[in-house]
Amino acid sequence: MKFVALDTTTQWETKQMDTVHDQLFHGNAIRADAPTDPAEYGQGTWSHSVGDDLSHPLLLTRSGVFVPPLFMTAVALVARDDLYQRIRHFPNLSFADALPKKLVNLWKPIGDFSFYKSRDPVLRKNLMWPDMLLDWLPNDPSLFATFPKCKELVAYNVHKPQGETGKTVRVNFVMNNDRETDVEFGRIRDTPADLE
Amino acid sequence: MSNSAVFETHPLIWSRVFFLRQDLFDLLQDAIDPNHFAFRPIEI
Repeated sequence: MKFVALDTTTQWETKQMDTVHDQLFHGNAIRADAPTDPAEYGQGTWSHSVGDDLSHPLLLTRSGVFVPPLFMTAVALVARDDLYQRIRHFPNLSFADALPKKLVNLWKPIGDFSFYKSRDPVLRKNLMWPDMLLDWLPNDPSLFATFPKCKELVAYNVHKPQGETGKTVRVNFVMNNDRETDVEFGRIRDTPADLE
Repeated sequence: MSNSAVFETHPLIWSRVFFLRQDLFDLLQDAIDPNHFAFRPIEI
């Protein structure tokens, strides 16, 4: 069966890193039922398992100025409502609500590095940590009213099921951004009734 | 038995790669800008 492996890239056509744009475009997210202790992050709660309760929404922290039709936070793939309407009846695809938790009032188009030359005192104070942009920029409540509906495309983590079956395949491949990724993958054996 | 159209495999919360069935990817392709996403077809 044919699949496509999808990752984010922080490089654009000139091969320059554009961390600020990447943060604003893809944003961050946390699951409403995620553990609060970072030491527990590796225990799989941040992934979906077959049979998970999908009533817990994904909570988004991102730019509220521009929301692309599809974006990939650290933990999930999220579709804007217009794209969701196109794929909502696709077979074997589940969705969960994705709600804004924090929206920042900043947008920089790709290749716009003016952030690093900004005279804004808040930006200047923090420009050494662009990857933490969404943490230190303030929430703007006025952006919530215009934020489009979004849905998470539920991606079940098959790491454990494949470990149990032993039917694993290991593949090395180079993504488009030249970052070598070592991926172990397999197929989900059992799926919940709502996927049938 | 059926297969999810989207899945992931990595045990860590970082280094995430999602796998989309090719026909779902085709449906989404106009929303997947190479400036923001890296993608590679694979056969399982």
